[in-house]
Amino acid sequence: MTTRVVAVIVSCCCFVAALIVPLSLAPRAQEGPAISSSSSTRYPPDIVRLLDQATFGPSPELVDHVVNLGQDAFLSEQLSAPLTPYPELPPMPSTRPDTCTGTCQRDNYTMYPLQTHFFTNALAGSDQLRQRVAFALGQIFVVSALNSKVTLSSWMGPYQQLLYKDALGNFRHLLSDVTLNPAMGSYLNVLSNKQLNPSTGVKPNENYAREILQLFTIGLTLLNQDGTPQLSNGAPIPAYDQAIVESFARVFTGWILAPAFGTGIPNYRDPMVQRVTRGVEVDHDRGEKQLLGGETVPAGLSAAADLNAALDNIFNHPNVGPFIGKQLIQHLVTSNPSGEYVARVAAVFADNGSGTRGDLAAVVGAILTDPEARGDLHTEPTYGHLVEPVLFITRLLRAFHAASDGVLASYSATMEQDLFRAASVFNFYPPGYRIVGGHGLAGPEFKVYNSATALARINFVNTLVFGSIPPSPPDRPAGTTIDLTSLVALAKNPELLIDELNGLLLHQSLTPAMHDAILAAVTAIPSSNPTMRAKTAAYLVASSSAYQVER
Amino acid sequence: MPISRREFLRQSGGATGATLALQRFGLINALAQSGGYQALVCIFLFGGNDSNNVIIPVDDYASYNLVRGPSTGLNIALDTLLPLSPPSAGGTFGLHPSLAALQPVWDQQRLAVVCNVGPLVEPLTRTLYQGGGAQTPLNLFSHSDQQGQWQTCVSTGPSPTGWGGRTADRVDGGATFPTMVTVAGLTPFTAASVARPLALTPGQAFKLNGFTGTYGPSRYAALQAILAADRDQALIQQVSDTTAMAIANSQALGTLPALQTTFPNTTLGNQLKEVAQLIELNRSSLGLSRQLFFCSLGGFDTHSQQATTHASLLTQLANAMAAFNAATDELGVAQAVTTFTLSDFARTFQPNGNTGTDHAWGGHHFVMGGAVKGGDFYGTYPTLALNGPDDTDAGSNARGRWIPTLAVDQYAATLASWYGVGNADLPAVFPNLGRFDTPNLGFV
Repeated sequence: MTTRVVAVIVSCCCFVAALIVPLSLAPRAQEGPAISSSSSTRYPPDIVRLLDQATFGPSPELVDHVVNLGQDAFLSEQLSAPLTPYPELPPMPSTRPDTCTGTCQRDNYTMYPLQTHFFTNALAGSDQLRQRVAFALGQIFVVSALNSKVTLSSWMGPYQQLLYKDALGNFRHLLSDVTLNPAMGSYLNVLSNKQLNPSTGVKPNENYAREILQLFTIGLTLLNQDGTPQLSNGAPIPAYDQAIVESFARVFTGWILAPAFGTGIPNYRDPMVQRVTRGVEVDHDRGEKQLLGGETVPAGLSAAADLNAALDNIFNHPNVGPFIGKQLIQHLVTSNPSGEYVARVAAVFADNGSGTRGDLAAVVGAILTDPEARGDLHTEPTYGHLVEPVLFITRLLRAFHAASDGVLASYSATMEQDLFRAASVFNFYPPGYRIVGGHGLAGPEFKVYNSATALARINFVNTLVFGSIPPSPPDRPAGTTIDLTSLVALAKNPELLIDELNGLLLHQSLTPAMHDAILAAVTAIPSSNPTMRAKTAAYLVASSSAYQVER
Repeated sequence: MPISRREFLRQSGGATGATLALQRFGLINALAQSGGYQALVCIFLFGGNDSNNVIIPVDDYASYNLVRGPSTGLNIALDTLLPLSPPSAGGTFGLHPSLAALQPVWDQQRLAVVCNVGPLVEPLTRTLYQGGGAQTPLNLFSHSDQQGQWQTCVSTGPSPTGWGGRTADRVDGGATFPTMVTVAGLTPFTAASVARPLALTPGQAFKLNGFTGTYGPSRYAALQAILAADRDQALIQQVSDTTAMAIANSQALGTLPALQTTFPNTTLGNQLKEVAQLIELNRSSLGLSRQLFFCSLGGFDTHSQQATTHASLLTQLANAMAAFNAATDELGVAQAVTTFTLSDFARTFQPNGNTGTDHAWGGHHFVMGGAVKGGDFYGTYPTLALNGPDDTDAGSNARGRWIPTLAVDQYAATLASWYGVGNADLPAVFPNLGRFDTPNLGFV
């Protein structure tokens, strides 16, 4: 019961069997309080909400833990929790050897081992906040295995590990690490990008230059600190133009992979390096370059010096705080934050209180402790956000003591969130996505909420509540099951059953109409069948719109 | 012009209840069988298709070869091009060899090429563009913006609706089954004020599982009651509406009919197969007079090592389109179904140093179907010269980003007019159309 298994297996082919994770979610130092007869005392709504925002979902034990510890101490604990890593996957040849088939192919030439580890880490790792922020950052700084060359798990693995490592560090550090990571280098073409070829006129690749500005740091238009666009004669003001993109394209030239591990086995583990031939840097454009805000880098600098200057220039642009801060708020808390909320977070991005800019731990802390995030009851009609598919899955499993091998990616893919395989660098959904017919309301996750995925979500609940995901070796060694024992124990009294679900899943926000509908369905089942009662109630709450919109 | 379903409803105005339903079903079914049925099928090529390597001038191959010669790694050799002789353009052009499956469709006069189309706010010349004397689309060369502009026909800012959605709102907007179906997820194209698209995943059952056994009915009743409750919370209501719509339509959809035509087992092949099956299902049971479909293929953002990636994508595109063309013959709806491509933008004519290409602007597009006046080009093929009359930039910055000579609005309005949007409704569906001389390009 108290064992937390976090398997870190290095071997390439057969680690999966070791990943059957008995889920117990809280750090175990303290025992929880005695369980009260009322969920409103066991499940203080704001603590459950904090866990929905800061983790992959509340479990009863983790709620108990935070009740004991207090919210602030829990956040401090999370900031210093040891990192639950991805496995270090062995480097493999770029081209799959004919002998590598079956599980060898699966573990080295697909995203399977990383997807599986992502889920086992999310379900059982103790560093929930770090993982949750890394998951958000990975959907801003996207590297995808789809429509890309980054299809080897040993290429994608170091990038995902980098996001874990930097998630609560400094944004400037993250920018450097991301820019020089080989998977990103391959995905957005800093890797082997070259200066203008004077004989052919061929120009530097604009891909990374454009997307680091548009998607990773400042966005298309100048922003106020509250995240709203600055306007000139009613029109947004572009943050840069095509000439700036071409100038940054010249900055990001001259980088290649670190020395290979062997013939045909490239190095995607270490940062890219400057290309140097006989002691002379080649491929890098050493001319003067225009940066943002009228700054320039002088001619004659090395690739590394140019890169540093350019990343400093981007990092210090006033857009970064509101641009990144608002997106993190949307990922963790609410799709439509007030301008004041964005501005408070942007101010912490600008200065963590000790004069440091870009302190992500401070930014995340500001997001989670903001008055707009906290509070027992949120009645504003537009508050909250649709829970994205991966979180929809992990929340359900963590709430009900799941035992899982982590092989869940096919389910999130069916819900249009195929982990590490977004359709493009624009992620599964854009931050500015507006709900159709929603009168301008933003709802990023609604981009992947449609008739097909709506049924996929409800059908997933049906699978787990009324059955299980059965083992199917070798790819699904143990399957996934949830445990409704604690609900069954309450089912003699339908009100207690509903109350438990209201506390654990709904932040005590159950409405009378929903309560009455569940009660009618539960009491239609005789009390001699508590298992069916528990399943019926769990299904109706977990499939409900109120549970899917976390608020 | 066939009578719209709305007019049918008006004509059958006196009838009520079951009589109306029967009458309506009969009439529309009769329409569907007598050729009154029409469908548009959109194929969005996400990432920006390099149409400079899709249609290449044979007569002026030297201009092509000057910038995309063999040393660039992007060259399509002259002797591999599949010849096209469009009467209105004159001369000979060549198709990328990976599009071989489309050449017979061209020979059938069912495939047209529309040249150098792109988002525009108003007609543009190079002088106007370079001098800043005209309004240009917001955030040029950005994927997300240009994708949106192709789908919404609004190039000055975000638009809550797409031109597909606005078309659906005006043609058969009151249908009981969604006239819009996307087999490639939600997208601005299908966003509407009233109509809601059905989203389906190709090859996957569209079905609500469970609810068997003694307590299934009472649980189902509770599920429905919960979906109908608590409508004061905006986000929750959105989820409920989508879920309720999915459950209701899943019952009408049932099992899709089998087809004789073999489709390639690819992303786009499976999508177009599903579309063909839905057209057949509509003919046999749903009875809509109009349907609007959205498909897509991604991966066209070929910034590096473009040649093999692009060839493989074009093969997939051509084979899936050719199979779909055959399926429309099998179903007897070739005249009634028009398929067309959209894409973010074309790509720089001049490559980058990674044997790839970067974001550009105007590009060439395909329109396919029995009603299409095929075997010809529409619009003006650009001058393939850096710093030439169609290039956005001058001097050493010029990379061959073609300023569009046709607006997306004109391209889209031509399709929507064929589909049944009346002239009176065109300004509402295409608010900028009036700025361009030719609202109908005449290719269908």
